[in-house]
Amino acid sequence: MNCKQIEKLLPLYVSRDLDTRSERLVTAHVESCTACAATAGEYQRSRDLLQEFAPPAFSEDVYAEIRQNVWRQIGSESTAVSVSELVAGWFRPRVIWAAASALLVAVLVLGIFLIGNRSTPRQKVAVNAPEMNRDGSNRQIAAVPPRDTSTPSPLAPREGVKGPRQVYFRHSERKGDRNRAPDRLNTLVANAPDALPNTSGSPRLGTSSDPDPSPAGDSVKILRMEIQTKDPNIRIIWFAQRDTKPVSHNSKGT
Amino acid sequence: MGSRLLDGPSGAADMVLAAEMALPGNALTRNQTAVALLVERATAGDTAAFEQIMIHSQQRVMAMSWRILGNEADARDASQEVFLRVYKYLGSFKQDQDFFAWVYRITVNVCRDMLKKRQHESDRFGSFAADSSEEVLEIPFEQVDAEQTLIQAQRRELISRAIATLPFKERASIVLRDVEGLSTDEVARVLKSSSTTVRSQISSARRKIRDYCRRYMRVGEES
Repeated sequence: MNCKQIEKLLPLYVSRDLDTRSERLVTAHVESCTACAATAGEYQRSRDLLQEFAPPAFSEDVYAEIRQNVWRQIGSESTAVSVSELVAGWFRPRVIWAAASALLVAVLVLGIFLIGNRSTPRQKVAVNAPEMNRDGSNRQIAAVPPRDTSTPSPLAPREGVKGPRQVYFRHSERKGDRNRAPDRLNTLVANAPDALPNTSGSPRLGTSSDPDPSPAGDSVKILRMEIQTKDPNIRIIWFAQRDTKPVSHNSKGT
Repeated sequence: MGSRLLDGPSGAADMVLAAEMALPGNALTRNQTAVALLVERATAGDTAAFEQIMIHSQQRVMAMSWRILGNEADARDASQEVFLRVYKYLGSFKQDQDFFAWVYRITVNVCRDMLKKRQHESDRFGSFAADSSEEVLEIPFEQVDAEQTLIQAQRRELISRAIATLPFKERASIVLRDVEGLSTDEVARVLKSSSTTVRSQISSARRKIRDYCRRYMRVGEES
């Protein structure tokens, strides 16, 4: 190794920070090279100066003051932190509030779900069982005396086949039933040879748009009987309570 | 809390602990068990334990700060900030770590921050006049008869100025290695750097200090 290479290693050589091989090489070179030995001496002296670089002796009062200031600052910072935390705490979502809100939402959702489930089966029953009589009693079928059916009726089937006269009965049980689906009204057919066939092709038949004469909250059954006369513009509709005289009136058909 | 702030070692155990920690030797290989005990107590909220920690590390922190910053006022501020950070981050200290290496690292960081702040404020107010180092140091006439005092003061001032010319990383490395007496590996741990990097920094710092001293000596001889 030449002097230039050795000179690069000298700063670490004086503190023995070189690896063994490099240190041995530098030692051998310094022993034979006065210039490099002088440089190594300079490094050693500057290092000695550094090691003597002691700070002035600070008195115990200086240290005590430092410690006091530290505790004072810790106290003031903790107070400031506690006040700011207190203020921020009101705006911070708390666990208990979050849990209570979640519980409330869950109860609401469950309540809505249960209410929805209570109404749905009733509707389904009504839709799926249009022919059921609610009170389970036998329906009363009224027979109408036979009459002449020679005149075709516009409500008759288009093929012109004379069929038995059909009488439709509606059972209105409660006032509330009017608002329900028409398929819950029971439509009964009685054979009446003199009556014109009155099929479901008529928009007036089998619907619940007619007013229900039964009083509100009255559980008395009312029979409704419709008879299509030869005149297509005349239809006889009978409303009758059970065990009472039937009330009749005429109405013009469609 | 306040009444216990300036309490000294409160019992026999603390006296033993203080004696153990005051033992000479490598700065980072003192009685780690005793330190760990103090740290554990301080972390649990024992203010007396933290007071002990400050007492046992204050000289080291103050000296290190003074060597890097170059004056007592800054060293005081730095020491105060160091202990505040130690208190604040004591919970994050791991027991398998070297406590004094951790304190040294905090000290280095605080000094670096202060130097940056000082540099931002104004270079004119720096205690180390790095650019005015070509002048011969002036020693008061009254001290001339005290030759030894003069020589020591001159050397101290010389080294202070020489260190002040170094970049911060080289400054921290050389102070920890040559002044505080840490090994290269310990310096690397404190600075969170590699040993190779630390060796390079130390080598560069020694070369600059030697050059500075040579220039100063030459100027002194010429004058």
